[in-house]
Amino acid sequence: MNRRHALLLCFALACAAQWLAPLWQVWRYENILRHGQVLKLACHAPDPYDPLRGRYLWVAIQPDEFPLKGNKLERSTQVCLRFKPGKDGLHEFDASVPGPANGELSLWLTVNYHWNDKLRVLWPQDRYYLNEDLAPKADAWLRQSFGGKDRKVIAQLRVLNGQAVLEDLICDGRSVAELVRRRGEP
Amino acid sequence: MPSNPDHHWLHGQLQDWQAEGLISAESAEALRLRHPLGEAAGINSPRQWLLGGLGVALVAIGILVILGHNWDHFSRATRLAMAFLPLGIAQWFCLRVLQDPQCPSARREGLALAQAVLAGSALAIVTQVYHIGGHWTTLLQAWMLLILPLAWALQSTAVSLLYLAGITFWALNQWSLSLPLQDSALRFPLLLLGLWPLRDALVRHWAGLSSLAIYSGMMAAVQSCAMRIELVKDDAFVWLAVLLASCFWLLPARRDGAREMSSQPHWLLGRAVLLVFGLGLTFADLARSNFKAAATLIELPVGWVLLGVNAGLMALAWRRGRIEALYLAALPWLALAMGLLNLRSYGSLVMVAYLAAHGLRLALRPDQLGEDRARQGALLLSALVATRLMESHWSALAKGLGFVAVGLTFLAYQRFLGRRLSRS
Repeated sequence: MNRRHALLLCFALACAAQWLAPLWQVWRYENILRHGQVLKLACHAPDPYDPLRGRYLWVAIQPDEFPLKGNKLERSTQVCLRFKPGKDGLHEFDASVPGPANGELSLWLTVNYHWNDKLRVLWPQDRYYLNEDLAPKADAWLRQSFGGKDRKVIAQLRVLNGQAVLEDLICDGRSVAELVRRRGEP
Repeated sequence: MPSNPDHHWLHGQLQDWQAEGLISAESAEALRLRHPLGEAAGINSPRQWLLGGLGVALVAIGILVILGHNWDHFSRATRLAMAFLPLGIAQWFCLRVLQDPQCPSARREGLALAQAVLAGSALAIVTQVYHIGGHWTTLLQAWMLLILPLAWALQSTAVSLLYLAGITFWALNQWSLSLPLQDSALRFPLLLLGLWPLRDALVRHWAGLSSLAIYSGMMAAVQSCAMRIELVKDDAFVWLAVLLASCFWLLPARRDGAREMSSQPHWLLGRAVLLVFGLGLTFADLARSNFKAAATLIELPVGWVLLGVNAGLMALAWRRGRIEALYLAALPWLALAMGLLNLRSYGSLVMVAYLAAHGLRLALRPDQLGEDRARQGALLLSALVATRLMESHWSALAKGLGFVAVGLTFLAYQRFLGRRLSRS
C-alpha cells in the first residue's frame, strides 16, 4: 500500500466515523422513542446556555433521592431502579432491581451518594433544548409556575431496556414548548 | 506576485517527496522559497480563501439563524437531514481534493476545516434533537477525536490547529483530580500525541505558535503579579491582556521577516486581541463592566507599567512611521478614558463609532492604503454589523436576513477588489 492509498483509507475511516458516531446515537434514541414505555415524573426546569448547543431548559427530575437499605453503593456506579404508576398520573419509585426485565419500567441511573439508607442519583436526562426565542420565555413562565401556584411540570420519558430519552416537558396536559409558542406566556 | 498553478502543484508534491525521503526538509524549504505561492493575489491564495470563507460563514450563520427561527416546526427527520447533508457534501469535496494531487493547499485546508466544523455540528444537532444530557466538554472531546483522522488524511494544518485548540480547551476545563481517568485532563498528553504524524506541518507554523506561547506566558506572569502580590480581584484581567496585546502590536518588525502582516505573527496576535476587545466593548453590558474595571487597572502598579511601555512603544511607532498602527493602538486608551471619565453609558456607542470610522477609512481608500488594508476594513465593518445584529432585539428571521446581507456584501466587495487587482 503506497502513501496515497493509506491517506485514502484514513480519510474513508474518518468519514465513516463522522457518520457512525451520530448515527449510532440516532438509532439508539429513535429505538427508545418508538418502542419505549412512558415514564412521567415531576421536575424543575430553569434556562441556562450551552456554548456548543445553544439554549436549553435544565431539567431537574424529581425525586432524585430514594429510600434504599442494604450495602452501601459507591459514587458513580450504576444502579437500576424500578418505577410503578402513582396516584396523580405520575410514576413513583418501587424498588432497586439487579437489571431491567421485560415489561418492567426500570432504568439505569448513576449513584451520586448513598448514605443513611438514602440513595441520591444523577438523572442523565437533564436537558430539554428549545430555540433561542422560546427558551427565555419558557424559563420565565416556569419560574412563575413554581412561585406558589399549584401547577406541575412533568418530564415525560421513554424507557427501553434500562435506557431513557426525554420525550417532552408537559404542563396542564400539553407540551411546554407548544404552550409557550402558541400563547407567548400562558 | 501573481499566483502560479505550477507552484501550487510543486508545494503539494514537496510534502509527499519529503515524507518519502526523496528530499530533505532543508531542500524542500529552499524550493518553497524559490517558488513562492504569491499569496497576495491569486484566487488560490490562503488569504483569499480565508476571507472568502469568512464571507461564506456569515451567509451560513444567517441561513442557520433563519432555520433556527423555524427549528421547532421541522420534524426530527428534517432536522437530522440538515445535520448530515452538509457533512456529506463536504466529505464529497474533500474526497475530490484528496484525489487531485495538483490541488492548491489553500483549497485543501479550507475544505478540511469545513468538514471538521460540519462533523461537530452534526454531533451537536443530534444531541439537541434527542435532548441528550451531559456537559459540553464531553461533546468537544468526541468532536476532536472525530476530526483527528481527517487532519492525518488531508495533512491539514488548519484542522490540526483546531484539534490542538480543542483538546487544550477541553483539558483546561477538566482539570479536577476527582474526575475519573477517561474524563480527566491527565489524558491531554495522550491526545497531544495524536498530532505526532503532523509535526512537520506544525513546525512550519512555529513562528506563530511561539508568539502565542510567549503571549500566554507573559499574560500568566502579569496576571500572577496582579493577583498574588497585589491581591486584587480578576476584573482587571481583560485590561492587562489587552494592554499586553497592544504592546505586541506596537513592537517593531521581526528582523527575519518582511514588514507584511503574515510574516509578523506578533502583529497578527496583537491586532486580533485589540479588535476582539473593541468589538466586545460595542456590547453595552461588556462595555459597562470593563469601563468599571478601568478604575481597578490604574490602582495596579503592573497596570501603570504596561501603560508606560505602551506609551513608549506608541512613540517609537510614530517615529518609525507606523502611523496606521496607532489607530488601533489608541483603542484601549480611548476605552480607558471613557471608563475614567465616567462616560460608561455612552461607551459602547463611542466604540461603534470609532470602529466604524476606522473600518470605513480602510475599506474606502484602497488606492492610498492598499488592497490588503481595504479587505481588513471590510472585514472589520462586517464584524461590526454582525455584532450589532447579535445584540439587537430583532426577530431571528430579521437577524438571519441581516447576516445573509452582510455576508453577500462582504463577498461582493472581495470580488470587486480581486477584479480590480487583476485589471491593474
